[in-house]
Amino acid sequence: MTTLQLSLRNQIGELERVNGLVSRLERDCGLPAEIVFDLNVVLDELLSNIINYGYTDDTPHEIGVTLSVSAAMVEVRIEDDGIAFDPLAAPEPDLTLPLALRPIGGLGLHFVRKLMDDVQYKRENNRNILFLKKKII
Amino acid sequence: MEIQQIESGRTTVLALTGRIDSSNAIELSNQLRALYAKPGRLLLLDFQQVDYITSAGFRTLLIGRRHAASSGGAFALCSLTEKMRDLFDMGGFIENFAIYANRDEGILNLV
Repeated sequence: MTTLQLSLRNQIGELERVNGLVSRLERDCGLPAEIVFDLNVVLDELLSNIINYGYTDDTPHEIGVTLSVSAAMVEVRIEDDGIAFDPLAAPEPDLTLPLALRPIGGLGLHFVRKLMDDVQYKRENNRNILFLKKKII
Repeated sequence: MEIQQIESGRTTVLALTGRIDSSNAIELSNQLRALYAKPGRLLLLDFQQVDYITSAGFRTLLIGRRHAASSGGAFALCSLTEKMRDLFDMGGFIENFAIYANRDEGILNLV
């Protein structure tokens, strides 16, 4: 099992570092390209949500990201001290609507739910903690 | 993301390299807006070298589509990998964009 951890500031430019972390796992653990693709999309969706909408003040915050890779699974843990937000509670977008009538929000979380095998959320000590699992097939 | 602009006959090709995500989608949006300032622009986005795209990137593609419609131009995509195509499908976008197998086919069909 390989585990990498990162502490991010709540600035969108920090996502570059997350990308670097995933690239390192790809190199060190031989993660398949499809899994790398899914991880990159999902991490961008969730972390940009936290950075863009998670805070009501202008002070710096830390977001904890942990990636663990075993032979059969990638596990992701994201922890932040932003406003309570359960991504699983967000409504599914209606993709049958014509584009012009579709609300643009919700697409990112739709990708998260579709691309991951398991998503669990809890609120603990005023912190959002998100666990994601992706099977390596 | 790197954006390389190539003029091919009447078509402008934007060859994209890297990722299109929440940190850089705005750069592409700005370039699309600038290009569609010229009416009747035929634009083809080549995805051959794109690593991945997120919802922020899809938002930009929708903006491109809208600019094209309002300026009498065209907006098309080409060279999506299978994985990329799956994501377009997952987002319900496959039907909403003109998508060509490769650059040549895109250039041939954009009028």
